Amino acid sequence: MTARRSFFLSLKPIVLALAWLLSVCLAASPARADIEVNVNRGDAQPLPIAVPAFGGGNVGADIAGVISANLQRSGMFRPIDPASFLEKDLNTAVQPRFPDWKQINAQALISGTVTVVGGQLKAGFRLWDVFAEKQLLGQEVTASPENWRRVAHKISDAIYEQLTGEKGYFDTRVVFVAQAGGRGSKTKRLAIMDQDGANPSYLTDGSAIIMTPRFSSTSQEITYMALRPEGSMIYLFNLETGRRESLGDFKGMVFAPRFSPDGGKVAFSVERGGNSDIFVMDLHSRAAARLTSDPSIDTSPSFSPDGGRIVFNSDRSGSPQLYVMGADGSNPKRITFQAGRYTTPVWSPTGEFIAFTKQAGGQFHIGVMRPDGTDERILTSSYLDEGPAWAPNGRVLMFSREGSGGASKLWSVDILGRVLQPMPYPGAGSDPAWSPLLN
Amino acid sequence: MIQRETSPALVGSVLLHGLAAAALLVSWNFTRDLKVGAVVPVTIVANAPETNLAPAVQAPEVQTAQADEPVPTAPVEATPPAPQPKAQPTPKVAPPPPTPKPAPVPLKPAPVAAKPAPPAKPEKSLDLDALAASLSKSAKPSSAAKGSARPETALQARPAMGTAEQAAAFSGLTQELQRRWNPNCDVEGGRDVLVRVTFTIGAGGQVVGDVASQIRSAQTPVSQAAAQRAVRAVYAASPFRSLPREFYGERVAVNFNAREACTP
Repeated sequence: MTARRSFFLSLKPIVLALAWLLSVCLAASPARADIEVNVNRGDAQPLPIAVPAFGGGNVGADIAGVISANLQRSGMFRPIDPASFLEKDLNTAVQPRFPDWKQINAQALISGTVTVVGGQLKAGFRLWDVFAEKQLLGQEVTASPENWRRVAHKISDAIYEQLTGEKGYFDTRVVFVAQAGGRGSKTKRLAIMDQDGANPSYLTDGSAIIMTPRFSSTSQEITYMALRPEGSMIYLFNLETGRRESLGDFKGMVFAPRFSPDGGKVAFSVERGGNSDIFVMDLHSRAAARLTSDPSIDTSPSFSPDGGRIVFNSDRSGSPQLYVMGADGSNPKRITFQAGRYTTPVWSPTGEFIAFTKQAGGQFHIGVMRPDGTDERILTSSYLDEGPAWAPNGRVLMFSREGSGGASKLWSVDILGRVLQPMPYPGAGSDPAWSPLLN
Repeated sequence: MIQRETSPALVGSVLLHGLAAAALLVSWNFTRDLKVGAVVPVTIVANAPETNLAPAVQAPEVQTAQADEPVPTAPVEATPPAPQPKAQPTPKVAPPPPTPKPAPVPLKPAPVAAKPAPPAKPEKSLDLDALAASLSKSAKPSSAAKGSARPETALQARPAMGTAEQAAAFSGLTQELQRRWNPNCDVEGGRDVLVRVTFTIGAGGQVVGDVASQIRSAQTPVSQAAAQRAVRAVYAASPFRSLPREFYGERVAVNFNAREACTP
């Protein structure tokens, strides 16, 4: 008994210390406050960000320029005019003079330095929260000097992710159909460029007319349709290995291929005797299954990101409208009921929206809607806008716009319709498709 | 008439720069056909902690002085930056270990003697009707574009002050925060974020010490970025000059509600 008592007595200081610690913790708890207010309104706007030229000469300035353009094009950021910067000699070794940046209302600031050492380009950067006066991110990126643009895209992605919480989409590429020549000699070649229009190059030689290229969402693999006098074929093309293969021979014309989200299947349309239906092929077994059998034109299948459903376009109601069905073809339901003709549906990578082309009122539009057809939002209008493609994070759409003069150009728009602009690719192009993030 | 001689060094320099620029233009504007498989690796080789920095060179002007605040002992920040180790590590050095932050730069000396002794605080419930009535009289229309009209309510009262006065005082603080808060309503999940930010108001109405944030909705990268935005709004709105001095030295909690703010 005495032993037990002495044991408890020996615990007394520990218990007292714990009680004191608890009271201190409670006193310091962030939940305690003398004044408490609720803020139920805000001033939501693109985030003002300062992107001064990186140290290191021309390439430093170029990298900053690419980052600034990337962030601006996303619609999430408003890069501040460098002419208004007060601190000119920013570098990564010294903390910025925050009052100078607060004065121009830069909420975030990037400082960076570029060096070339041993044939490798190194870009070190820091992302600053100007008002909290602290570093949010600091990284160093290396590449061979000719890949400075990819360095800029990598940095853009890191900044975008840090400040929004979403993955970026800047270190990606876009495949598209590059058009050249006039009537009678028009070529439509498969081409690829960076997401900002830089570094364009051809992937096919122009002997076939290329249509509807689509990226896999999981790898650097493309599927596309090639039209030759003898018929159409669907190809798979791996950009990393260079391997190119046909999906197989089909009776009738095959078109509009698109990968399933896991990259294991391709859905496509087959036209026979005026009737188009949707099929899906397992790429491992090469077994194909028919998903629709309506005596109408069913085409443009696009999987939901979970792979469970497919949105497609059908004129079974008399005019082209959008329908959603199970990935096995079950239970098709029409989702568009407003005036107009809806085509080229594409499910967003987040699953939140379906992008589409709409023809109404003598104009073509790019728009988005919820997968049940609600909340339709028209983002663009012109003589001919069509073929939207999602950036891998679901923030931006690229599409083709043709003026009354006939030349088709690539454009991009963010999903709020705030930033609509032509891509810098100087040639004629259509049918864009976005890659996943590069490794 | 003044004649300027052109130095040969200058001519040489201009020529060299021109040649370098031409070489860069030629090499960078050249569009190469993509070699299939030519995805060149770009790697992030290091993460740079904030601690390997020299302090900022002070801007010439000093921050606005608080009239009634005792001047703190001379801050050390005015000294020019001491030579520091280079910011970026040498090639392929492993990222520096995430050591606990050893207070990188002494930026904000906390005010020591300025805090008025807080009065005893018998908690007293607030008359919300009177508060609402006084708000409608005294509050200026907000410049904020979004959100439905909700009472931005002070939940705890200071007995020495009338309810209407308190409402007006808190209304000014709230409006300043609304003006500075830039919620990201456009990202997925951005409209569901609730963040509570707590901080202490110093003797000059400015934020002193740490600003803590607590996410009261789902913990996601989006809500973490949103919490940073809420904290930024507090720093940007500081000093809270509209708040009467009786509240200086107090602990403030602000509930930032994106669900309301992002509702058109």
